[in-house]
Amino acid sequence: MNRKILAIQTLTIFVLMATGLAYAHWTKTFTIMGNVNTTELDWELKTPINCMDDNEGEKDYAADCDWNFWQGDKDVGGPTQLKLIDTDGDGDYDTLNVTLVNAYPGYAEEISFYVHNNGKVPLIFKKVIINGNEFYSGRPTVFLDLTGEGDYDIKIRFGDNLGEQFEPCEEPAEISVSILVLQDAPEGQTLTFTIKLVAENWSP
Amino acid sequence: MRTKLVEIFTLLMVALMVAGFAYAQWTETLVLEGTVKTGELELEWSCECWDNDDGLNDIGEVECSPNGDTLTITVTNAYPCYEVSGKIDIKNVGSVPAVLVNYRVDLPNDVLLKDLGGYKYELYYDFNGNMKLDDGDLLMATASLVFSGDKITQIHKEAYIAFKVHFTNPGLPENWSGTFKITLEFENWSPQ
Repeated sequence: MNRKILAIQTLTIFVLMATGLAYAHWTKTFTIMGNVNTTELDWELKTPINCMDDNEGEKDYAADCDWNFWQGDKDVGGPTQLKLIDTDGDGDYDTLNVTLVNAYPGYAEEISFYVHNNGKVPLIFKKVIINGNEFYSGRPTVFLDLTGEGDYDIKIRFGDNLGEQFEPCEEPAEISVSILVLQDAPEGQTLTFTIKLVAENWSP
Repeated sequence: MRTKLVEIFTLLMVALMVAGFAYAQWTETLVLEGTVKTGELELEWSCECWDNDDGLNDIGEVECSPNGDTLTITVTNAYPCYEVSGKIDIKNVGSVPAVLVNYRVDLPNDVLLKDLGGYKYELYYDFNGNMKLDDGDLLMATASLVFSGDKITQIHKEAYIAFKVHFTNPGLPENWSGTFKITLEFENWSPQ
């Protein structure tokens, strides 16, 4: 009788060991592959670019405090030189170089150009930075002291489309910039200013 | 001589009969037949996913498709503020409970992971290329996981893993692509 019990116990232990060993080796592996690619935000300056004093013989313009322009009877300044530049060589114009020639207090100019969304995502024209001054909406006017002498030398108005959304491949949108040379501008100097247009991708 | 042979034969027969009788009286055979039927560890999964710009501009796209034991999630045209979410359903179609015993995340070479705890993560673009998370790296996405229950400890019938990835500035590069791989290792449940 003892031998029978011993035999049954031994057999049971053997079976349990065998099944336990098999259990420990059952595995299942799942793999999640995630592929991500991102899109591109891109915009560019486009022609046509225009200005009021655009050729020899064109009479100069002036402007009042409310940016009302009128044309005088002399051609002293100008013509204004405009040049689109691709600074990073990616095939897009990203800089517009504007040179006012022989300008003087009271001389006014207005430049127009176009911007185009050539990326793949809608963009918001988020802000404009005029010599470090940031504007987010409207048609801001800023007075600039370009010589650092404490007096304003020019004033600039940025017009059109600030805060607007541009869709990819949409028709280019026009933007204008008005410039008035002020009374305290120095004689015989070259004054430079920078206007940066900052776009952000649209998001939900 | 003949009589002697008959005696020997008779004696032998009697001895064999006695021995056979005794053997029949003292032998007992027990038989134990054992049959082991094993179970099966088998899981199936499915997935659904969605993004946050459907019905708006619908620039980004997300797709997930299971193929055997591999689930592929493809995100196209991601951009800052784009967000993808999804739910991976796992069904136990075998006959033994399954347990998630381990998972491993393999990232693209230029992406670094920061574990915030609670199954929340931050992904950084390795801008300085030193494959080490430091000040030069910028946040490109946040991610979170939600498991059915507190965590998938056992799958008797079904369970799910929900995920959300939010792409963000300033680290998300333009025109970038990368492949992530997550390996989930399941084992049969056992009392040990």
